[in-house]
Amino acid sequence: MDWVSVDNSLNNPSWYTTGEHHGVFAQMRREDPVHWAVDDEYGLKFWAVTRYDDIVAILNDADRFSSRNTARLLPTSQRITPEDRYEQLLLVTPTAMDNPLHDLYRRPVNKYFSIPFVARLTEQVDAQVEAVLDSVADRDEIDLVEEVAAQVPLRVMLTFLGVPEDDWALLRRLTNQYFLPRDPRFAISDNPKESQLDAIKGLDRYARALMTDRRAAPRDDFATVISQLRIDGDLLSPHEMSTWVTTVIRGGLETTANAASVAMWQFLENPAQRDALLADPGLIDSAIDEILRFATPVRHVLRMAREAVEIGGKRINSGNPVVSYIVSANRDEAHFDDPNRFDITRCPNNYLSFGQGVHACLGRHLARLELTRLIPKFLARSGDLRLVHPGVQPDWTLEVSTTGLAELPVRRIPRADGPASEKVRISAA
Amino acid sequence: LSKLTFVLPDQSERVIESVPGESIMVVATRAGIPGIIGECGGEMSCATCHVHIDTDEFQPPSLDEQDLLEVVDERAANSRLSCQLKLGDTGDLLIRVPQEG
Repeated sequence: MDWVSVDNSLNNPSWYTTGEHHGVFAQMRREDPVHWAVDDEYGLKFWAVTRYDDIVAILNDADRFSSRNTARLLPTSQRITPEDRYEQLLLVTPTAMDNPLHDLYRRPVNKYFSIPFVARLTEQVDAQVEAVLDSVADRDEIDLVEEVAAQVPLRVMLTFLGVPEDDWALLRRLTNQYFLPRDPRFAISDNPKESQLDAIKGLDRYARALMTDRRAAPRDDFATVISQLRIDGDLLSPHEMSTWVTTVIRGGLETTANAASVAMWQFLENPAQRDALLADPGLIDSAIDEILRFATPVRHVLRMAREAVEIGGKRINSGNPVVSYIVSANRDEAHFDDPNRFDITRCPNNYLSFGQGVHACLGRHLARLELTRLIPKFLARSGDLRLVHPGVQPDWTLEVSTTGLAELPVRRIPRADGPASEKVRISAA
Repeated sequence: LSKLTFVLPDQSERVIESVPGESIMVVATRAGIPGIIGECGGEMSCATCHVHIDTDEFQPPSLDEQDLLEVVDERAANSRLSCQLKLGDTGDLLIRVPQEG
């Protein structure tokens, strides 16, 4: 692809639905791994960084690469005003902050997403996974994205937070509208920025009411924890509490669902990989690594250079936007043999999907736990499920910064020895 | 050169040379001491480098460290996150690795 076309594709959501980007990122890694992109379509000039080692260096150098703007490129390149920052809850969002302020907000929350704390949620996650799989056990046609992959994180995160079941559908819709503002199923305007802002406002309203309730009547849930968090001895303000509530909802519902969707698609396309995991459950950790690498739910992260710095032989000037393409790093031939192959035995597999350093994904252990409990149980029950559209590109979401599937329809094939649904119940027991 | 003696949950011992300037977590993970994972690299977000250590060689734990220590298994009065224990001109140290939950 010529460079003008490359530059004008990087922020084009349609381009990512073709699957063509993986080949173009390979070209960028080979020919110009730290590339000055002039994206006239989107309206921004920025450094596009595509090699694994350069991206690791940037992620671990928060002193020189600031997160002060936003963690990713927004649907439009319009400058973000102070009013925008307030309305979009960006003022104290840790992903859009630098230190020393960042740690002040993030540190008090870390323990609730630490490995020992998350491990204690295993039983609850198992129960949610079983409930979700049971809900489709009798069905012959299933959309695995909406009915399975999205349901597990929705139930797990909102139960953890303490949101009543009656409100789950509302928060799922608002989260979809936020992450997929161009998808006609969720958009409320032709302008994606408007759809996104409307979604944020809906989430903010919900979060503020939830916090008012928990301040008045504490419970044993994470909403109550947020309502009682203190910084420098003081309780959080309504805006601060809402920022945390909406951050865990947005972070918890979308990316894990996307990783699970892509995993299900790959396992159904590659029955040998499914059989290998079912035959050797000890492969699960390595399988989850590979799912996270292959799916790369967050495609890129944005930083702003704080001073002149050399990366990959190029001089990046102070103030330049720097976009690290995680989706490219995760398929860098220098670190992953045959990178486009889905291989659950891949070792080593130092994927970058959760980022690294100060801004490493807060919910990464919960996401891993959900995938670890969901995928084997799903595969054990998937023997009679077939993709409705095998062997073709799946229905990727119309998005730039996140990877996901809009839907993944499957059909249950009839068994010769009795009704399919009976068979499933028996094999699941 | 000073020595770090790690006592594992089964009471077996591993002795490693101290490296001034590095944290106990970094030294331990490089040596492959079981039970010290240090997944977050020292950002105090994972709580997987918990040790028991009796010494006054280090600064007392910060509020953030104490906060994260609330979630670890086998919490004791001498619990520390080893990513926060930066080795300097320290003498020999005895470090117990608690049983994982």
